[in-house]
Amino acid sequence: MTQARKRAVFTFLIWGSVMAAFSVIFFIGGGPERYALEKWRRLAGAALIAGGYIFFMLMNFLTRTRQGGDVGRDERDEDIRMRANASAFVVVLIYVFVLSIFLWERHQGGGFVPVGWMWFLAYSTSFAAFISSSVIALILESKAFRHGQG
Amino acid sequence: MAKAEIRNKIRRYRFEAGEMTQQELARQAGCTRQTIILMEQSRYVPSLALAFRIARVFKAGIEEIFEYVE
Repeated sequence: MTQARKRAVFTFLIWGSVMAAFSVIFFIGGGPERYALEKWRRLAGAALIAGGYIFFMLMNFLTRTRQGGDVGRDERDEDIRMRANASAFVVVLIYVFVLSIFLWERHQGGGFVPVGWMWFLAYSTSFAAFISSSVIALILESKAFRHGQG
Repeated sequence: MAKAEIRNKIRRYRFEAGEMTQQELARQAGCTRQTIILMEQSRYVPSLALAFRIARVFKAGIEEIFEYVE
């Protein structure tokens, strides 16, 4: 397995797990109202995000290119990475737009949106970025990505 | 415009270089083994820079290894 594929798989696993755990903390037995009120939920959410970044950095360190070892990344990996990041940017834009419109539609009658949703939007935007870029990278990787031939 | 294809003879050149492994060619050309595998299957076309490095490994001209077919 190439370094690029390993990193995409581990990125998906790490941030997928963090997203699942955060969703449990946010939605189970509470929701946005309880999340904003209960400090332990906010602390648990912050700990999850911090843990996700620590594991992510650790994974990048452990899968780094060793001196004298095989070539870690090449032009094909770089092309895939750039296209995946560019596509993930669009995915994040769409995600934020759709979630914002969903909240508007759901709460427009009441005249306000529970502030707890701001935490969800902030955290889940990170998840959307990491997860979508890794999934798109894996898809491009599996399609071989015929550089220069269109 | 008719679709063009770039074919290569990397597999043959590896054979003629004493059955050089894909890993060794990748190391010398500065790419991953996965990229060599895909090139041999004609599923990936390298950049000019990588094509030149591969040709240099085999001490051949770039057009001896890569062929532009219309």
